[in-house]
Amino acid sequence: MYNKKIIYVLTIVSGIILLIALGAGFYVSTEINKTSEALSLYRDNKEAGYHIMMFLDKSNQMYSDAFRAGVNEVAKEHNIAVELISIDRSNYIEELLDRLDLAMYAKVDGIIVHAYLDERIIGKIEQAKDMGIPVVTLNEDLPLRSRITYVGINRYNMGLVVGETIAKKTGGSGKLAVIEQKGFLRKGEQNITKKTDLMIQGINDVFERYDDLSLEVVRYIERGVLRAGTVATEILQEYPSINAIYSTDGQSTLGIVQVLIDNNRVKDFVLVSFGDNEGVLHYIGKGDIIEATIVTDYKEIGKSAVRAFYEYKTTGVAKSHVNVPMQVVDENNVESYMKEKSEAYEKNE
Amino acid sequence: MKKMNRIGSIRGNLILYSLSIILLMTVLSLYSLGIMNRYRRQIDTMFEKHIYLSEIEENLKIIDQNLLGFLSSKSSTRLNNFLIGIDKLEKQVTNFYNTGLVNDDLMMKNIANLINQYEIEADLAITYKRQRNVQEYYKHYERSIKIQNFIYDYITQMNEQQIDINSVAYLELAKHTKLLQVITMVIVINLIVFSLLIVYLITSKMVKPFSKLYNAAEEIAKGNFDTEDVIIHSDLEFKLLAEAFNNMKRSISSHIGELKLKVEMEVKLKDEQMKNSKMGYLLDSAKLSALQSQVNPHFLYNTINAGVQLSIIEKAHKTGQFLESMSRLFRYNLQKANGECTLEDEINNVKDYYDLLKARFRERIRFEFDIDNKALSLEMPPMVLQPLVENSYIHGLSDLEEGGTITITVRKEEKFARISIRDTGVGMRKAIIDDILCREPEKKQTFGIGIRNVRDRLELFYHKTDIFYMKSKLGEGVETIIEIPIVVKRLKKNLGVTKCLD
Repeated sequence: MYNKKIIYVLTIVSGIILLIALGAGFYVSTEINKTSEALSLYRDNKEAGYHIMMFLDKSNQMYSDAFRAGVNEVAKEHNIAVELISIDRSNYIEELLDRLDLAMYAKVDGIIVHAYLDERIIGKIEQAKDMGIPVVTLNEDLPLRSRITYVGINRYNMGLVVGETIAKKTGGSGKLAVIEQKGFLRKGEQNITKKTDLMIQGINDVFERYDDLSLEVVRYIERGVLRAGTVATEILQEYPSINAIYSTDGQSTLGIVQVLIDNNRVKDFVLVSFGDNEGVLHYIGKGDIIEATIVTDYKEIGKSAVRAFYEYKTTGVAKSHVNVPMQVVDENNVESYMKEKSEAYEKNE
Repeated sequence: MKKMNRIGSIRGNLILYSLSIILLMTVLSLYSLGIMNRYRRQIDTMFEKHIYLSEIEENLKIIDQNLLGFLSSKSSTRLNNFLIGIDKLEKQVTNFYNTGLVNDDLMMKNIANLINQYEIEADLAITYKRQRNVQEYYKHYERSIKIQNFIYDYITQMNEQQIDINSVAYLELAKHTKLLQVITMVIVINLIVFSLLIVYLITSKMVKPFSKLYNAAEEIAKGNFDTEDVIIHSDLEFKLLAEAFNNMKRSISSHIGELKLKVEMEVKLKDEQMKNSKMGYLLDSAKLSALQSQVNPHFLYNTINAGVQLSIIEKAHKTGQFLESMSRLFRYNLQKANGECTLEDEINNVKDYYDLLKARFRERIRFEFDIDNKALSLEMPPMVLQPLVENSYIHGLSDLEEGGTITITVRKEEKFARISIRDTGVGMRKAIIDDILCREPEKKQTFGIGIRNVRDRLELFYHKTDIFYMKSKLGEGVETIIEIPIVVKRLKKNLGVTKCLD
């Protein structure tokens, strides 16, 4: 009788194991089936309403994850498929012209482009417009006849904000060096000069109000920690009187920080950056090294660009300019800014 | 006969079990097949896009070669091939293309549109070639090349993307396949164990009724028909078997009961027959002895009677009396040997015997009679008391110089009459009495034959056994007691009595 109980228990147990094993096998096989599906970025049987091609500068910090999140958010909302093509800066215009041809051949519904004020680009954009493809420009404003909307920062306004921030952080006296990320150089153009740079004009207009404030030097550099470090070292050596630096790129700022630390000059400098690079925000949070950073809402730029296209497609009209506001983040508001950012990121996820 | 094709029948159960096992195996086979199929589909999915894209690429190359062939040679075959190729390509792309939101879909859409544009540019190139407008056809051919390159770019991108996906997918697949192998192994082993257990349970269930029947049969084989009925709740056949078994048991039991009764009857009958033959034997031996003694007693009887007459002539009265008693004794012996008599006859016979003894021993041997007259008429077999009295005299008193007394007492009770013959002789040990009264004496035992003869005849006459007793103590004489029933079952006929002598 005892044996018989054991046999019954064994039978039930083995039956359960069999069922579990079958279930597990089925589950694993389903997983196998899903393997490549799961790896596809986004599987939805929804049909795309519109197809946009977006051409961006590969090395520009503006086209960060936040920017892409903004693009995706509005695109998803309006059922728009966005094909993002990043172009290397070294041969940007040539490559872009080719890609604009591609967009036209591929009969896309819209183009968003990181543009420069270049006749050939303008020509292609006009060609696209003639084919009924609306173009939204980022980075530089182009003549209204070609594009429908410009979305971005007003560089003069940016100069004003930078000037005010430096004046505030230096207490109204000091000498400023600007280390700016190099833009695409047009053929025959050596560099952007102080005279042509709207941002520099903005800074100068602020500094005019302060007797002891002056813009001593502007350096245009390639993006990257090491290049910025080299330029900063040069400035320290060549301009010993300088006590404020404004860097337009987060990564470059981090390079400059390293130079200041190495030379033990942290206390002597007011360092202001642009963009919400994690490292920069971290230094602001710690205090002492980086005083402030000027941030703009990259996500908003992404959203505005797609939204402008959608409005134009659906209503036939769109705003010609969308200026994205700027904000100064210093040790007083860095924590709340970071919190907000991480919340927005989580929400986005 | 009850219907057997029910679910509860062994056959039904066996079919059910077999079908279950077959079903289980089938399900597992289908299951493995399904999993294999899923695996194959996955592999197909991993590579179908590569194959599809390389087909497009290959076709496009051939189309371009044909286009270039036509543009350089104006060959109509080339043009034909070009047109066929482009048509095929368009269909190929249209069938695959869908306008989803996914990157792949976008690239496919672009490829489809680019192929359209390629066709337009190629057509223009062909048209301008026909018009011999070299500049224009070259320009459009250049554009077609550019578009072609865009298409190749997309194909490369898609292939790269697919390779990325596939390499990750492959690792996942390998991991899952390994896991699946382990699971399959577990399933196979577990299935073997499970099937064995099920088979064990099924066979146990099937064998259990046999055990019950076996145990019951064992009990019956030992002769125990009082076992409980075998009750089986499982398969119908077993139920029927159990019922049949129980019926068989009951039937055998009743049959054996009848047989027992019959055997008992037969034994009784045999017993009767035995008794009868024994009685016959006794009678035969009595007859023999009677026949043997027929010559002498007659002679003696006549002689004694001559002696009586002689004694009367010679006036020897005592001798005459003696001879008369002797003559009566002989006469009684001869007359009653094979018949029946009354107690009174027996008493008188003893008295004659006493007369003879008295003539021989005078006062040394004394007889005392204490007779209840009411019992005298009771019937009894002859020659019972005299041999007992003779026994008392010979074994009890003859060796005593001073002699002794033999007392004969008769008392009538309610259901029987008690006759007691008591002597004052030397007595007997109990062991001797037991030997004498032994019902199956050893052959060499010579003493007690007469007493046993008397006892046996009494028992046969009265058809009962508790009639004859002897008791004694050494030195205090022997008392023999006969209790004769007042109501006598008559067995005279059975005794086959022969006529007594005159």
